[in-house]
Amino acid sequence: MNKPPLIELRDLSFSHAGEQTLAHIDLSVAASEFIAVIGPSGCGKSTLLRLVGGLLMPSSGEVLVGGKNVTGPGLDRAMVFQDYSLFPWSSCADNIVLALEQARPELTRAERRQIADDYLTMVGLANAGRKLPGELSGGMRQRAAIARALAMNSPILLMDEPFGALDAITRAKQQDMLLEIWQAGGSLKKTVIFVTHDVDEALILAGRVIVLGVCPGHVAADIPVDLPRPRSRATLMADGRFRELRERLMQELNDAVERQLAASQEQQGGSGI
Amino acid sequence: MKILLVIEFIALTAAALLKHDWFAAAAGVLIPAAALVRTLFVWDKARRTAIVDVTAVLEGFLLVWQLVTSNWPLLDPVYFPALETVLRQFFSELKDMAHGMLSSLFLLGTAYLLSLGTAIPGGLVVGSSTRLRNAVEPFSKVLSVIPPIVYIPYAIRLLPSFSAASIFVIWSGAFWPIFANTVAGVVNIPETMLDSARMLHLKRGTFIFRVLLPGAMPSILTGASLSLVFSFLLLTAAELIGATEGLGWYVKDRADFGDYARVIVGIIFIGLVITAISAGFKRIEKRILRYKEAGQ
Repeated sequence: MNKPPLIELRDLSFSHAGEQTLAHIDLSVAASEFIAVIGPSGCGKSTLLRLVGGLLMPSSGEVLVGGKNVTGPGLDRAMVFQDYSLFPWSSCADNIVLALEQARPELTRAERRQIADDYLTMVGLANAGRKLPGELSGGMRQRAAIARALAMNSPILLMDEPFGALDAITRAKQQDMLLEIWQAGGSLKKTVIFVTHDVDEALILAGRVIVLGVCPGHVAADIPVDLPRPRSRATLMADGRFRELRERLMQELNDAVERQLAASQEQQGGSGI
Repeated sequence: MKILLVIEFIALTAAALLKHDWFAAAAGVLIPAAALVRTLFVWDKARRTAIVDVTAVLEGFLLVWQLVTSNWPLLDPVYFPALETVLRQFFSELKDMAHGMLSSLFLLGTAYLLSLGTAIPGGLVVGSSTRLRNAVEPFSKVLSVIPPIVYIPYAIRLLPSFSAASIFVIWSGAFWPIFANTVAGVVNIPETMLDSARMLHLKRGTFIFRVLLPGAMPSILTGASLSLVFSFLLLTAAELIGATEGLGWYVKDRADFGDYARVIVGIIFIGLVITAISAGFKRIEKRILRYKEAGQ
């Protein structure tokens, strides 16, 4: 890797209300890389993503995007949340148009509408533009949120457990769609940081998985996912390497959870659970 | 209830005709007739039953009124005027009352719009800053519990005209519910939704009008409907004290002359006006919050 990393976290720590959530995190993400951040709940993975997004400011250390210090949200980073990404009072298309007004002010109204329709079509919601988010199913709503993030044309896509609230089948479909869209990006692939607690999801999507440990959150493991692309769910599940990686990630997560339990028992004076 | 309604209808009409109370007889016929026509356009059985029940209660009330004031006048006619008298007065007084209504609605509308125009922007600003919210809270707590009626004598002395005084009083009563609910509405917008808005890098104005305002809207409308009720209360209270026109004054003025038929007419009219305005408000509220019916 001779290019400078697009996103760089240097000795990043974050505390809130006297409690340290993240400690001394060092992480580089190259352009067009797809990384997954995984860890037990409470490890600060969402906090990490919000720091990159500029929604939170580090207590110490720094977040660099394109070599510049992050001082707040920017149009180079689009974000998809688990819920409430879209404003429920506007239709899906209007939600995208609103985002474009700021992200791409050079466009005319009609062009913005057109782009909104194009991206909704891309995520399989060709006829849902006039629908309100509340009229859609959870899965369709997340598709629309992804369409909005993609329409903003930001080189970086931050995803905070976007499929976390969906049922297993819908989730699998969403992963396939995301994978397809990302792989279709060619040399202009977006840089994605994908937060999840699902090991399979991380392995199917990402080129690298960061495992966060707890108390406080730290990088416990940084595992390259050397599975060939383009990937598809069907072939992966039967792949020996996939299962090996899955085993290893499970082990890492298990260790992290056990350390968390041990630490909390220590805090409670060894009184047990 | 249908049979009861028919009996009431026959009894009321017969009793009224016997005494040549033409207006009362007309009411006895027209009210069930209107209900009947209404039920023809309602398919929901429960609602049809409700219409019949409501009409039966109304018709029964009018029947008792007719009987105890006209057919067997048991009550003092000065304090308890006959149904016939009140109905006649209602129609002959319509013009005067409509004039009073315009005057009242002018005060009400001005004051209410003024409170919307001050409380909503104020609430949005205060709601979006924790520091400002903490600074304002003690004052709003104390000021909001003072019954605005106590300002009336002072305001009437202090301000140049009765209109200005009552507008001030209504404003001060309507302001707090809207303000408090706007602040609460902003505070209760889900954090993720605000984060999502921040990630879009919206301009300040766009953020306020396209995110904060609609986000707080359900709560704002709750406050606004509460304030509307307060406004009527304060308007009529102010008019009873210092006005020379308007609906509250109409009732007080007739009472001063011992004209209780017109007092009752005025009270009924005020009831109808407020009901109409509240219904209009509910419609607007429903329209604005249409997206809520979609879920989420």
